[in-house]
Amino acid sequence: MTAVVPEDPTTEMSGWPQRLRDLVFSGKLTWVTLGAVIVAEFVIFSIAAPRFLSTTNLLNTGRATAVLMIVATGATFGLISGALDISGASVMALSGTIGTQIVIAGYPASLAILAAIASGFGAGLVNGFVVVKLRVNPLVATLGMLGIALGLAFIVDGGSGIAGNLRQTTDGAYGVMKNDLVGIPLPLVFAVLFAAAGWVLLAKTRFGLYAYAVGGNASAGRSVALPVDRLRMMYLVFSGACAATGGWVLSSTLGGSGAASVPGTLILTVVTAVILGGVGLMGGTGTMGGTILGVIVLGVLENGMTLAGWPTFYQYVVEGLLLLLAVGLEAVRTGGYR
Amino acid sequence: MNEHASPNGNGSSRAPLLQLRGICRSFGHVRAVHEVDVDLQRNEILGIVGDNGAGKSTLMKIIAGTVSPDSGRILMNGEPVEITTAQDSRRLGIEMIYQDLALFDNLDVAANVFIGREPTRGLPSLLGFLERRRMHREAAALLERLNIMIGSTRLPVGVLSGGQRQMVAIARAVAFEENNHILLMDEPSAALGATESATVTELIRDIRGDGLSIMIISHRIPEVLDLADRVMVMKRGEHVATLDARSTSVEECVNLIVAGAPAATGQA
Repeated sequence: MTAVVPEDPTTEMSGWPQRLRDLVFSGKLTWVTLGAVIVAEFVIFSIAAPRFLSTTNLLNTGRATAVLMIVATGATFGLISGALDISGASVMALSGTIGTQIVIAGYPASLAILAAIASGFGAGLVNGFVVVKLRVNPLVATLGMLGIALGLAFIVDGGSGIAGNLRQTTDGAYGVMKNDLVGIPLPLVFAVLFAAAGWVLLAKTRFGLYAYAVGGNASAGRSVALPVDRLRMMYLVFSGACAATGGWVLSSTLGGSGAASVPGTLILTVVTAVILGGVGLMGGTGTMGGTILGVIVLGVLENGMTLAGWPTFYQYVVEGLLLLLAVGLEAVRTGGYR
Repeated sequence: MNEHASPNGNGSSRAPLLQLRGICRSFGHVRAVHEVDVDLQRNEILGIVGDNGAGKSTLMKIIAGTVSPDSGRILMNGEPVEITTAQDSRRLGIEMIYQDLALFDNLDVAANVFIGREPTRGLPSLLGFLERRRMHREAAALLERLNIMIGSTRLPVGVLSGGQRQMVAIARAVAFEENNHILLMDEPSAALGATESATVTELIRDIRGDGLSIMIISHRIPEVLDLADRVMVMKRGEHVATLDARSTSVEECVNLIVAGAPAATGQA
């Protein structure tokens, strides 16, 4: 740190060149870009839809985006560790359906919530096993789980796709997310705390550092005696548990849910948010801060477009374009797919 | 001039630091390493030379625990030890610097130095909070002690030059000194230019003073003769000879590497 050799490009610089370089290396440039996009969204939507800037609408946006935030937190860990987990939306459906049916069957809400989240652990364990033991590409492994979990959700709710007897699940602890906390929707409060915990876990702990290590260079991980396979499995289990938690929050907000309560395109939104936030497709890069901003970009976009009177199917097109844009920019930066 | 490894003195404090006895390893029908005996003395630099496919890297990976032998014994200070994983060898104070360096380009210099052994606070194990400031402080002190010039420990390793990367790998390997510290190096200067290679050689000479024993694989025979105390020649998985680096010559080494025996026309 003390040795300064001016002609060496990797020595310490001072002033703005150093700050600019730190900005690029730390991934904070993504944050600046996304911040600008969010500001632009606010300007455009507040002009296009006068109701957009009302407190009620912003809180509604927060409520509607909370689930995306929770699932994206798990997907961030998964993708940084090198596994693109696309089973999230199906795992959410399974989790919400299991929780709902347990409440309808008359068991306590605590058991229903535990079982709902446990289903995500189970799905993550299976994903992890297939990836680590059978050496299947994570995208394909979780594609299998996408089908399995959704099918299981339909089996659990008797093939109806809906919650069934709604009244029982609306009341009591299972439906707690319908409430507000000092005027703020509880799902929003929960999602903010969840994302903050995810941030700390990723940026400050060994668990977070090893996600970057395993995703950056798995064979180096083995060389320095990291338990690479066990870690990879853990990140997929974590991702599954986050998705299941999101599934319960959605189910709770709706007062019970069935297999069809989770829009299948939600996984498009999750993956778009995470990649927009700067998590590289090849693993090893990205931050929770980026994911949070990516989630806000998409949450505001959905709400604003709806208020401005754009039908949902246009939103899909815009989201898909955004995903391609984010991936395209990453490809330019890293040299791309070969 | 050719002396084979001496017989082991069991349990005695005079026993070599590391002994391999009858190490064999095959990959399918290929005998990568066959009945190899090696002694590594304390504070010694042992060079390993041989053609491609002579079994040098496999032998080193067996010591590092990333390849397991089919048969044979490993002893440290005359006591048999079990090395079946990379964790085992690390615990015994054996560090290996791989040909590909095993660095994480996406992590900063400090994280690369500490990976797997980060100082943490609070919760145990994986949930422990990284003491990043301490990691940067200690990594910077380590680089300074080793005379390694890298602007900042916050730089991702991916932006460093080949020589700097090599030196980060060496710094990581010597960062945690324990008893019986052994450093295994597979082609430390293969991918480097002349100047960088000289810097790395200098660094290896420096760290040897810290009580390290080093095994080093290299294709550059003059460099090995310059650096090592003894040179072990391998051919087709077998230990052909061990030479005293001061009294042998490049020609003798090359003859042994090619012919597996001292040149017939020579004065051997």
